[in-house]
Amino acid sequence: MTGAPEQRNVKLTSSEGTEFKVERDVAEKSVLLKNMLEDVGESDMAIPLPNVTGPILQKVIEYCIHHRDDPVPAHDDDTKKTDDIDDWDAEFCKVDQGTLYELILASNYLDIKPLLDLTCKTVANMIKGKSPEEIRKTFNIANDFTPEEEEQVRRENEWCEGR
Amino acid sequence: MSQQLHPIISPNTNFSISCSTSLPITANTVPVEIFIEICRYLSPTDLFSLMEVCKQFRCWLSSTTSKSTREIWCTSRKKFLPKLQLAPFSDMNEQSYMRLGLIEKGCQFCKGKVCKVYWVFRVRSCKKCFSKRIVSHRDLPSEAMFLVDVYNCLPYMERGPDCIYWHRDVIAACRELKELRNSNPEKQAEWIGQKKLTAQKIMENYKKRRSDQNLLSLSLRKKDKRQFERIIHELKEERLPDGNSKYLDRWIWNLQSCDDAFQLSREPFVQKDWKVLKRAMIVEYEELMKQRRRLQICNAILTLLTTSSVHENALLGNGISVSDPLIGCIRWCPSYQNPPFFNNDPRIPWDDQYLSSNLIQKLRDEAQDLRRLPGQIKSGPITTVYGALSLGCEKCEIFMCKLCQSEHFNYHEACHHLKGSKHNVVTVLPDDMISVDRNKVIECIPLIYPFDGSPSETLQHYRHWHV
Repeated sequence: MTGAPEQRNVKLTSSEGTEFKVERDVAEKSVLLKNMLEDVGESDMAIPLPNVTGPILQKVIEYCIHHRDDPVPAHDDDTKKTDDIDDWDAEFCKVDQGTLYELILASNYLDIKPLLDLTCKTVANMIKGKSPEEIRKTFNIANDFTPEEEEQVRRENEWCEGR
Repeated sequence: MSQQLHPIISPNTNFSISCSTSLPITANTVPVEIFIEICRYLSPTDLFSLMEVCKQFRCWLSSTTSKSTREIWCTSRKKFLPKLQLAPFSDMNEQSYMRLGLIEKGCQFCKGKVCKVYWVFRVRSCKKCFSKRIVSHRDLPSEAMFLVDVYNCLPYMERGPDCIYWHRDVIAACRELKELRNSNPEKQAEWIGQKKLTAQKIMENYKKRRSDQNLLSLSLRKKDKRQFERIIHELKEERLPDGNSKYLDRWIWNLQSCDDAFQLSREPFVQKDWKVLKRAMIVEYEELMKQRRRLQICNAILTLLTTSSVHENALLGNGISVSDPLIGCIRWCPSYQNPPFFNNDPRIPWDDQYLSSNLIQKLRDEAQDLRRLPGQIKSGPITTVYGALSLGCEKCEIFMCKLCQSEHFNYHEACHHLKGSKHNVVTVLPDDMISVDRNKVIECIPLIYPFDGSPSETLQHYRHWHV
């Protein structure tokens, strides 16, 4: 199989049954698909992705095409910073929260580590420096603490244990 | 605690979250492995905020038994808190350790910004609040005296020849002892044993922490030194297309950022971005090289200014007079700010010929263009007393008395001279009674316009401040 001159296309089917054709090296950005393709070998059968919708799959493919030539990231380095997002990636993440969330789920499911990192970084940037109330507002999270509980958590975090 | 965090089993586990239409991220829908992923990028302060958002987040982040929770906090601490790189005390979990150690939160008593962590007493306090809450050995109540002297029952800090104790610890110990007064000796001994053990453990922990801290800062310093040397090495190794070094050793060591980094490398626990340093050094190096070329221009101008009027030398054709637009505008000329290379080749040094006939002329043209721009750059010619004073030359000896035309004075001397017995002037009318010797003006031009190769403000900046 090695050294095959022309790229074979891979067919993917989204949850609604839409078919996408991508080049093999693009598809292999996903570790899940890479493993599958290695197991199955050459096949014309479309790979069903019941967890990913068409529009999201479209976005994911767009990302993989842009990053097709990136080197495989080194294993878990400690450079996990949130301010090293390049312009293209930042633009790519300018989507509504629902889409961002689905991208996270899809990249987690498809096992595309750089995309998962990027999307999680984007969410982390939305949390950074915000107060609990602001975080609730940003992500539409209901406050399910009773006032007493809330006060208790706050006091705990203040570290005032009667010293 | 069924909702505790569990480690990710494998990244591509199929989880059955329906990816239907835009579902906002909420506490109920975010899978725990995604939550963990996001937390990897958050500082402890942000994690504490998340904890206060809702029950689910609090539950995930406050567990003291879950391995994943511990990892979240530990990762965050190591990444964001350079001063808290050591592991927590053995009897403390990550969360409490950080609540105590986050000096950004200020003094735990008065919320004042400047504070310190006193690890022995496990408080984060400013000096003032701290001194209110400690008691020194000589002020200990008598019943506590034997507890510390005989049994070493309380954690302490040494302060000069004295020992200090946490006041509340002392009070609590005395109260407990009082309650035990009527019980049997075995019980008292047991209590003392327990106290002693606790204090001993705290002191051991503290001492270990201090020595660990020293070791850590030593190793960090070594690491910094290596990193710094590597950057210098990398810069030295960079080559021009012809194989010569791009950055020369002697100039590298002249860079401010290089000096700063050198200072920094002696001081551990400062997070340094070495990539940024390298970029800064390169930018600064280029600027230094420009500055050196600017200095060459300035020297040439000063030479032309002072020699051309005296000697009939080869450069005469390019002589510069005090009224030359160059004098006032040089710092805003594009060819001064970004000095060009001879034949576009940075390696060929400028010769006198190029400087005087080519570059100076170019600069003069640019200066003339600048003068034509609206906004009036007031340039060189100092012909009036007012002009000389407004350019700050009152201390230069360029002023002459119009009445006797004899000596050169500075401005104050000139006024003094006029008011003196020779002329007996009551009110000095500067423009009528004092003149400026334009031949002398040449000498003080380097004082007025610092021809030192310094980079200039941009023209906009100049106009902003000077118009």
